[in-house]
Amino acid sequence: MLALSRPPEPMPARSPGPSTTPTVPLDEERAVVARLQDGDRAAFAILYGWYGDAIYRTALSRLGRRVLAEDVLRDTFRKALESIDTYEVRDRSIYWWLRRIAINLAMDHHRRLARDRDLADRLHAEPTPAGGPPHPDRGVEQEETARDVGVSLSRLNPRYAKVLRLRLLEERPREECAALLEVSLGTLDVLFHRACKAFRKVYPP
Amino acid sequence: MNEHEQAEALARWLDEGARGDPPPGIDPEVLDGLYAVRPDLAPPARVRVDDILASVHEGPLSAEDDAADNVVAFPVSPMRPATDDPDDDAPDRTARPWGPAAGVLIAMAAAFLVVLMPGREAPTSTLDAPDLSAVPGHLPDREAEAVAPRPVPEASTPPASAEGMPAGERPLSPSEAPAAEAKAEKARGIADAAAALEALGSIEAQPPRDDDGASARGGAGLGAAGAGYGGGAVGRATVSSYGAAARSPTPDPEAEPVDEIAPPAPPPAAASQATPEASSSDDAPVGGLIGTPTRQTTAAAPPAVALPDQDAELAEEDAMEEEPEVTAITAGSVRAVMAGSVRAAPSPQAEGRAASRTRAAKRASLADAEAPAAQPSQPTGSAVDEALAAATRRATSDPVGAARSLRAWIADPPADGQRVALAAARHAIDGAAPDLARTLAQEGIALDPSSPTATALRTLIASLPTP
Repeated sequence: MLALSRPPEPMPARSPGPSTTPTVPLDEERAVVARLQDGDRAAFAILYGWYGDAIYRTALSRLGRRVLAEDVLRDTFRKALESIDTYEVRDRSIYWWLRRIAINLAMDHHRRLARDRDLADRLHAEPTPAGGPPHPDRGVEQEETARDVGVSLSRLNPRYAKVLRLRLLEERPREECAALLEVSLGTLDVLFHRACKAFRKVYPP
Repeated sequence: MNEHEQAEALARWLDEGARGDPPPGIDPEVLDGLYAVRPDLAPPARVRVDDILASVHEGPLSAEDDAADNVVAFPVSPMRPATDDPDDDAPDRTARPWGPAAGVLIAMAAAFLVVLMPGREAPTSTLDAPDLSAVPGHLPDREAEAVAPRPVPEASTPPASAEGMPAGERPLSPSEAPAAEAKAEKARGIADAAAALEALGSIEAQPPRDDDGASARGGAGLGAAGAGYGGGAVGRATVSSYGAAARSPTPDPEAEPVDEIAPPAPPPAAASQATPEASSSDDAPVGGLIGTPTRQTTAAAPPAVALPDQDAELAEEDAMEEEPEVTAITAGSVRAVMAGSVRAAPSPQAEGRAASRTRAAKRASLADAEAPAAQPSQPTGSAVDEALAAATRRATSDPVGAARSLRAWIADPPADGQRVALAAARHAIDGAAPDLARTLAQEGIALDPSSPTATALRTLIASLPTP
């Protein structure tokens, strides 16, 4: 069995992007999906190892809360498994299907909160690449996350936005950030701490 | 971990490449904000494959499928033979294996209960709370009872049954207790609001600090804001003129109960002298936080306690912090309006709105009040004082009407600058004393306790019925 002969792919290494996913040969992916449709529960570990982290971070980037993202991750794969027999294997990765489920769940969450219907509608109207790359593309995730982060940063105190840009997006050293903001290192740390907390309140936009 | 320690630990973790889980003790909201910007820094999800598989209830991977072999079939009722034909389901669902006799018996029993036992009281429940209006001396609003427990006449006084409960008080039933506790809490808030107004004096005298000592809003913080954004040292000195005799309306004799709630405040001059300024800059340009004209003062005193450099920086950062709902009004403009010497410069649209609001508000709240007509020579800021004083006078004779008018006034505030004072009054009415103090502190309003506004607010707080 494939699940025994080959362990699941390790989780992707962290990199300064919203999400990374391993490159999985489409044939291999189709074989795993076929096993899932046949009721092979062991095959799920493989699929989860491939795309679980990417789905989690997609949800996290849209919900901004780790606990909610984990709920969405759990529900995404549950829904996918419950309707895996209706999934039609095409010429693109199953990741896009999973991602669509995750986004819909995130959208449901926003609707439940009635917090941002515009965001929900925008997510719903987002086009899924028809032919698209056969495997998840980081570019889409990065672009969407960067757009939302940018909108939220614009709603923050300018100094908070600046420290977040310098520290997280540009990844500048502390000393350089402190010099640019004309504060001491200790103040920079507290400023960054408060900026993260403030950003939490305005994200997603 | 306090904020400084959290910030330091977070910075260290980030500098080390954010490997592994973040250090413990960091505020989850901070981490959520961090992960929202950089989802890749988040630790892996705490969701296991087995958890997901166990939650699947449909499809080829359903958890029930595996356990199906171990399930013992539920015995089929002998009255309803099992059948594979789905068409047989409908009639069987309506069949009653016990026949119509049981139904008739139940109906008769229900009729017996309804007809023969009409006067019997049901046990205490949330729907059958005792009618307190029948109790002599009952207060329509039990919040007042919660604030100041008044003895109930002996005729209706139940014996003290609960341990620790003084005689003369009726123990609350379990269904009443939470509601009464919530109301008591709210009513206590109203009483605390009066104390909060008194605390405004201490806001003037001593800048408030957060527990962690990292921020100093209101007093020192806003002083720092003036310096940081070039607003000049605008602050308490503007307020010290608040109790000037020129603008003080004649105290209403009916407003005497104020003194019972809050002791007489120190004279304005003393409050002014005790007012610290966190920082001041002589060469700072005159202006509000976002450019609204403000008044520059020369009476800037050094802070009572010298802050370390980092704390001073953080206090400055605090002052620069922008609250979304506050940005519409600058501290400088509010102070100027409240001080009554400088009128905040609204936009043309705001001026139009303010004019209509002023007319509507005066109609709503001051039409039947005994307020004297506004003197043209009086500064604009005193309109708040006058309105509140009029509302105070009215509150003594018609507290419910006064509360209603004031709420209507708050809903349609007469002017931007006065919105803050009215928001403070709203907080007072709602019994949110901390919110009241915070609102005033954030807006840089340091009410002189002897000022007409403070007096009016105190009286209103004391006299308004609890909503």
